[in-house]
Amino acid sequence: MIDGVIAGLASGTAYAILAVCIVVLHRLVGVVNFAQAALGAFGAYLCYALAGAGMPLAPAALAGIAAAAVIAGFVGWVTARWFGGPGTTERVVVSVVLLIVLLTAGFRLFGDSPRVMPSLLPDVVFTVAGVRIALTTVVALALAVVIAAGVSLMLRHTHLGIRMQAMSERPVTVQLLRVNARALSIGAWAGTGAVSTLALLLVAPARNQTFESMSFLVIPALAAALLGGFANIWVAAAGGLAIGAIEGAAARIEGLANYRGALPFLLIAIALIWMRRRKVWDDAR
Amino acid sequence: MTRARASWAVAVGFAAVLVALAVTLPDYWVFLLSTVAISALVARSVGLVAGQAGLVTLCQMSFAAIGGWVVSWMSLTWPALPYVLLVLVGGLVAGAAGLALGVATVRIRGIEFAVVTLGFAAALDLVLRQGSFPGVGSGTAVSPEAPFDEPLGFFALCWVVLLAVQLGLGALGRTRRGLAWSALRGSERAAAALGVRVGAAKASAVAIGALIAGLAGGLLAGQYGLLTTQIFTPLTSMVHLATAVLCGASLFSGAVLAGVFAVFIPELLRRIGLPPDIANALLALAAFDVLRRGNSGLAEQLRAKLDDRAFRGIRRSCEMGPLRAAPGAGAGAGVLADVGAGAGAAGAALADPAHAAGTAASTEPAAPPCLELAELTVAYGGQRALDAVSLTVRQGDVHALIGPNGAGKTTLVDAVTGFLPAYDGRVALAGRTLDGLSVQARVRAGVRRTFQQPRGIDAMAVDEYLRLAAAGSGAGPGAVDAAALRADVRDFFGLPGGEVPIRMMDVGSRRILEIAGALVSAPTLLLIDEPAAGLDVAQSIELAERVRRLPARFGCAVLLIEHDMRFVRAAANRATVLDAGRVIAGGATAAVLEHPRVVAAYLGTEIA
Repeated sequence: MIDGVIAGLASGTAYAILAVCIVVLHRLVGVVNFAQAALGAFGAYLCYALAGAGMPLAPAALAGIAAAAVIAGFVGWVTARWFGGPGTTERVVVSVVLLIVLLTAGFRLFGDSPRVMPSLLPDVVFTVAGVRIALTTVVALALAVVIAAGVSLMLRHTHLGIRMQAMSERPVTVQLLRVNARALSIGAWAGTGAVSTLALLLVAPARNQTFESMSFLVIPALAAALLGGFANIWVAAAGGLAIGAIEGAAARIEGLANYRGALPFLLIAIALIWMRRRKVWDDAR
Repeated sequence: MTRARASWAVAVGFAAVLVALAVTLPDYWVFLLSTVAISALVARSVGLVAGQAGLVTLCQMSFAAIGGWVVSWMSLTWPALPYVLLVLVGGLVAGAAGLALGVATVRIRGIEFAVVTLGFAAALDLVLRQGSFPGVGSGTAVSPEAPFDEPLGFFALCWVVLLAVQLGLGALGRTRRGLAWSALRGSERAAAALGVRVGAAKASAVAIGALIAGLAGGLLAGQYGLLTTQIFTPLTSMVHLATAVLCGASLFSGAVLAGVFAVFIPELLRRIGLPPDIANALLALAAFDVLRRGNSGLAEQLRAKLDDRAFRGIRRSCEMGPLRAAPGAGAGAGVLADVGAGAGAAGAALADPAHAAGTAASTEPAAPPCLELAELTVAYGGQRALDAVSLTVRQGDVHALIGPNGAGKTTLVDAVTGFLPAYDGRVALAGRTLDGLSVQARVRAGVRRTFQQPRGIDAMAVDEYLRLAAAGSGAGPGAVDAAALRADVRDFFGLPGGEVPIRMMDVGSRRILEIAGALVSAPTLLLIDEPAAGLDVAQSIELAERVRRLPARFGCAVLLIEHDMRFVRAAANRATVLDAGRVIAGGATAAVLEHPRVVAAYLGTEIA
């Protein structure tokens, strides 16, 4: 069971990092990015393609991260250019459109079969009190904590962070305050795109996934971000880890194992229904 | 009705073309046209849930999968059952699943609803992948009996189901339930203030959407024989959402267009030697382009253009000329306040504001209380939005509530109408306590309100809005005939014709329509929040004159929030001033407006 939880934590760190990216992007530009994992998957698959073509792993990984950042930054430019203050439906559909386009492009470029995914880190395994822990898990976990801490410090304490948060609420007002909304949007998208790629590069070798299934890792990440109301970074990060742990534990239970992917969603839907039970009215007044 | 005739002509022409195509084209094309109808069903279900009710759904293909699964399973278990029955049962089971989801997520909205539906789609996809569809293992296909085993028969079935769904939705759209969906999309609060049961409306929209998608899934089972999970992935639900947004699938024509795109774009790509899956990206980018331009879907744009032509030269704003005598009917109506003597004590006092101010200040009003607030206190966190506010609005009064922004005026209206989760103190209507009652119960008791922000329900026409508003009334026996009251209200405010779409009306006219909507329910108490915002000076004067007459004409007391002091002076006979949640002055309007603390605290230079 403990083994299962630890194994699940490896995926959990990816969910956590993706969830933090989703929350940050939502807080900064007001979009819930359904394509967060697809952007990362694009970078990761590009890295594997380059590595497969003979490039050393480190520059290939850097190229993948850079490519994801450029694509995400372009999306940031497009959304800032055209979608200043649209309604919920528009924002969701734009995000869905991005996911569809990335999935189509990914399928065309990378096909639908899993490929060899070399690990960024050496395959070292510690044994602590009889439990096997991979080095990758430890590094990814540390990365998740560092990212969550760094981002929340940045949002809370820097002038830039506070201004960026104001932007998601009233883009026009902030433009009047001479904040360059477009540059900030591009930066936020590019940054989360790069971080997502890094997260997927770290955990992908353990899961051996297709481009499409990697893109749909966004669902546990969305569930975790949902727990934090798309606003709370630490709840989102903890939620991601917990989802991974639950999946890992369920993998060792006969009868549940095959359905472990659906389990976290069920739990989070119930949690959400409970959290919102008193929210009789929408926010608009 | 030339419009109705024109749309019948289009419908008949469309049906004729369809039949001609089906009879002349080879089987392969008839097969594709059947798929068009099935895709149009899915698109229509997205159009209903996302377009009409405003709930962004990413799981319509999952409901289709449930319908398809049920049909496959039943056909395997009871091969003798007629296929049409299986499709119906599949739709009903999917509808039940939709009802369960709709009830569970009744307080989840916006982006959270979208994520929950996506999670549901992914979870169901995973569960379906564990097994396969019934019959796939043994190779036992769903095989519809004659005449549906022929391409032509199956084609007819698909289109008949689509048309039946559309006719059903059309009939539903004219009922209170169907109108409630459109109200929901505008604003849940505004819908509730009209007496709509918001939870039931949301759940029923999701359930009926699921039922339609379930029918589509059952038809797919018949068309393919053996289903695969590939048809029902979360991605397909997303593509259907994008296509529905692109085409405007809240309309039948948009749904059919979505079906055509979904089938023939991949077909075209295949024929010119390109991979057909590019169609997904093309449709998604086209949806993006439509949104980028700030447009609605293609069919909805066409409808809007046709409407613009149809209503060219037809009046779209409220025209409030000099008041004419009411046309007879009415509870206490029919007598204009101008006539004075006949209007009863309250009406007489109202006839001349200057005179009313003089007398009301010196004599205690005799009319019984309509709304009584005692020690009403509302706290948000540590902040007191209302602090022990006591206030009485008497029957026959137009009672103004004035004060600076943030004084607690709208909070007071929210408390009276039941929109606050909790408050301290008592609220009573005509001696009956309202405490603890829901918004709907208060609406039934006769409390109506308008909103500070305009809550235009764009998708409706004037008459539809008035019918929806009137249906939630708690008017007891002896209330005036609803239709006569509607005609009276319409005449009183000079509303545009009943067919005029609300989205064509200007902001000021919409605000007046909102007041008219409240009145057609024959309320006991009407709370009007800043009616003059968005009106020009002449309209504002005319509206103030009408608000002044509301108690005499329609038998309701009025609580009026307004910043325009000319409006207050002209419309209200009594006034209360709020500042920082406390009552700082109250009494006859003229006296209150001259109160030194009022001048200092709020009115400032306007009086000086």
